Amino acid sequence: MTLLQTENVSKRFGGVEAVGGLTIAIEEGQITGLIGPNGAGKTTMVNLITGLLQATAGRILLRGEDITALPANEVARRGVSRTFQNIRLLKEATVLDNIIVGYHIREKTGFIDNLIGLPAARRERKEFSARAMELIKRFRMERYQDHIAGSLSYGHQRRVEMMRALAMDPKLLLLDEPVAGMNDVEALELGVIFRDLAAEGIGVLLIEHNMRFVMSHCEQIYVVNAGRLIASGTPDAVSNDPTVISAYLGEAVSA
Amino acid sequence: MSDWLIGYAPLVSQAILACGFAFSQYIVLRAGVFSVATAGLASIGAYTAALLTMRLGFPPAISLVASLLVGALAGGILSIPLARLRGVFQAIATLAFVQIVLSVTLYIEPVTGGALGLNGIPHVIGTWDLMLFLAAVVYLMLALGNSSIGRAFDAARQDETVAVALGIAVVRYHALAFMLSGAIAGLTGGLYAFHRYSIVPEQFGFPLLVESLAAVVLGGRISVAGPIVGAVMLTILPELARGLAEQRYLLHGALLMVVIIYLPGGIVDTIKFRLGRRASERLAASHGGSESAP
Repeated sequence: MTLLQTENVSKRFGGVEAVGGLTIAIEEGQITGLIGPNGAGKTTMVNLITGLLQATAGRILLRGEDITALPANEVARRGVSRTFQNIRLLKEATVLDNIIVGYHIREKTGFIDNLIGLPAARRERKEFSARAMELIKRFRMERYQDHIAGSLSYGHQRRVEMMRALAMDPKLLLLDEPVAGMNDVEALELGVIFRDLAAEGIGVLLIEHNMRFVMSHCEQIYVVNAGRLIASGTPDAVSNDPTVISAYLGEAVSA
Repeated sequence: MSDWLIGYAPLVSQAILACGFAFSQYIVLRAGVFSVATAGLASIGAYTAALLTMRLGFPPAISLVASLLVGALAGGILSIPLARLRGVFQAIATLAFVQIVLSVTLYIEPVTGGALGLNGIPHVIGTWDLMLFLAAVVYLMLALGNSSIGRAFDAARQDETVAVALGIAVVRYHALAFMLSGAIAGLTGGLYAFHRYSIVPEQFGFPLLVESLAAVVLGGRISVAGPIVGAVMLTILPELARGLAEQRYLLHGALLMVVIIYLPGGIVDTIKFRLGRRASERLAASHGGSESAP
């Protein structure tokens, strides 16, 4: 079933058209790839879907509901979570606290409970800690749970960001270059986790420059260049598409 | 203990009131709002409490509750036009708010007594009452800091984009921070009025603004202990440096500059952060070797 559908979504920044009429679909339980050269508008697309940017034209539907004009926090409440290309953690907080803040939309205790520190609020924090520990185990980060997030290495910070995104218990997970700067072994480890997430029914949108990673993990791939869709389909179809090859490698020089 | 308290009671009271103003400043900064409205909100609270009791004969306890509620309301209203502003623009707008409150209290003479202020306010708040108040505020700050509200504040302060991406309604939490700041400032202002016999508009002007902000900058803006350390230091320091007469403000300024340069997070938070980082490094060292981080 289609989880997210964009219809001719465009975004202009002044005279620059960052995204020009993109129509893509993200299916439940699948990993969908979004690839393209630098500046193609991939991150802009993630920002449009998550509500951080407002589209100039077009519609974005989440399970049929129009979320085009919703503010980012409302989109998040509907089950859309993301990671950032340039990792954005709460650098002063520990790994565990960074994950716990991800449970914000799952909180059930009332405002007054939290304001005056009633036991219900403390119980809830304990429960979130326990759930965060499960995520930490899943990402094999047990030894780092009490570290200050800003002091971790790049690859570990990416994992913390993914755990935080998963804490929201999302229906749709947008991963903006999740394995950038990782070696093949680490990337493979995360690839297994992404597949498990898809198997659990989550729709995953994967933005990545590592072509091997994208080709081996995605069921469906969209290729964009200069804000426009130039190809889409299965990994095999896309990788043999002449427009894709020319966008990535340049035109063949005719002698 | 009680002898000691009697000797130093005025200083202790002064320090507690300074803590109240500092916590009002602290709570907005913790949520990532650069508001300096505390002095204006305190003025509203102080005049509310004093006028209700002196002119309308309300019991002081009721007047104090009113000062808290009116302060919260004023903070809430102030947050509406400021929701679109961030950082230094919030500071300028709230500075203007403090000036407006100051002007209004000066010019509505029939109500506020103008520049002469209100005199003969019943002295019903003693040092013990103030201690009780401080304990309540500290408890509230600790409870709030460890709750989902504190987590939302921390996220909004450190990275607003991340906060909204996690579903946190940042604008609503900023409004809440304004209301809490107003409630604490209003109540502290009311206690101030009932403790000091008289209030004049200038007591809630630029110097109070600077003092509240300085207390948080000096002590720290994350830990609850921060504003207390800052406010107590800023209260005691001029007393210790009394021998320097007018030059003691020079010392005051020099201390602030040293702290800002060498302890940018404030005394308490910088120490805490360094200890945390060291523990983090020790943890890393004890795991070391088994794995080379990417």
